[in-house]
Amino acid sequence: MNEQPDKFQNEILEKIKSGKVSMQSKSALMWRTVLAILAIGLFALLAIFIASFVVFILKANGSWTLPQFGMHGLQEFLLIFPWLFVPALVLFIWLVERFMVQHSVAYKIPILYTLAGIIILVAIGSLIVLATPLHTQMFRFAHKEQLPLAGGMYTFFGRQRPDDLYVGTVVGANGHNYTISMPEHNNITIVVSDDTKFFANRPVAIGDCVEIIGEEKNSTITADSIKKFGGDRITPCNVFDQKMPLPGMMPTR
Amino acid sequence: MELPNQQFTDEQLATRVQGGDLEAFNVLITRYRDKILRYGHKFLLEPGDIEDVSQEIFLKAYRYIQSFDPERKFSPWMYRIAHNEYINIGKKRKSEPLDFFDFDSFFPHPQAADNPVRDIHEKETKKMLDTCLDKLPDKYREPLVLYYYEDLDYKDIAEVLHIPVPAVGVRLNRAKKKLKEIAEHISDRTHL
Repeated sequence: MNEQPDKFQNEILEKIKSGKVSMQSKSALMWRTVLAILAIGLFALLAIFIASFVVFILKANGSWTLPQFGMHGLQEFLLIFPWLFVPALVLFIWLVERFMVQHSVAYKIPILYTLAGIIILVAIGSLIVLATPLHTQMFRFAHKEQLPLAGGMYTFFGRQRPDDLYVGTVVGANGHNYTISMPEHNNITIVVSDDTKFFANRPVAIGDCVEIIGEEKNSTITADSIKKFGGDRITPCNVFDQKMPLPGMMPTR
Repeated sequence: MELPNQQFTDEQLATRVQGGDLEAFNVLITRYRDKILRYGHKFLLEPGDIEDVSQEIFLKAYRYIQSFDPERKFSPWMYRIAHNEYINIGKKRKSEPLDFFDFDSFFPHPQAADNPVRDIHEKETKKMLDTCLDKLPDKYREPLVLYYYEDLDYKDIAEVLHIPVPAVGVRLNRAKKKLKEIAEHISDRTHL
């Protein structure tokens, strides 16, 4: 039986024949797919950048290891955490997920798995970025005022630190006292008492990078806790370029 | 050149349309016109709207026919376009709250078997669906319509709704339960 178009069909066919509606070429559709993949890649990279930046900045300002100081440290960590970036990170992960579920590879599996996959990807990507000197270089450029766009982000959050947390390199040891060189101050004396808690698997020695929770009075800190940084590549002591002038890093409160 | 209606499969016709054969597209319109209109009715759209939207659905199918993969089935691809169009028009008309979080497709579910002989209560379910369709939320109405009226299997419904296949089984079961509740409620009220 041959098809005899009625009004419904005629109107459709007329629109096509008159050129009002035209078939999209394969290349146009391919470009749409390419753009969608690029969008997924861009949002994933932004998510990776934000996640790695948050970890980097917490390491750079010395807050990353605060939870190891116990409940007090954990409270301070939660207060100092740059929560502002969490909604942005969630937004970009959500955008990656939204773009991905348009494609059969993603919508055929539960969203939970897709989301877990994206989060794992962002976590691995962040670890890779943190293994490169990207953030350290940007941090240094920012402090030299040579990073126009994201510079403020690095300098502002790099300064965030609880007011009873001090970081620096041990430059002298004398009985119960240490002298540390702080990137943001002159040398400062640390007084250790019997109540001072040590978080280190070997004695603190000259050249070690340490962080101290304690109270400062007349350029002397009475240490409640002292923690030695391990072999981490990013610490408040090595994040600054040794040749550059010391920035005015000050406690937040 | 005029094409005999039964000689080609939908997928073969779609391949011919991709090559510029408008007559093949005309055959596809003939095959799917009633199905797409009926599907629109199940979305509870106004009859006037359905005719216009259905035309738009076929025009979109033509516009994007190159995105159809002839290795896959044509009907889910066609229903997917219809689904998107009807959903969009439905949102404009009904101003229903958007369903941002779908638990059915969020969590994994055990694979639900698609019964090849359909379920034994099909007639009963269809009867309930005829009377209670307008009382069902969109989320439950659509898989029921695709399964019972359009005879799509779980895999095809999953392609239309862009959800995992096990989620189709979960949604159909919940939809049937909901349908039964509504039918019982109506029955109780009529007996009072």
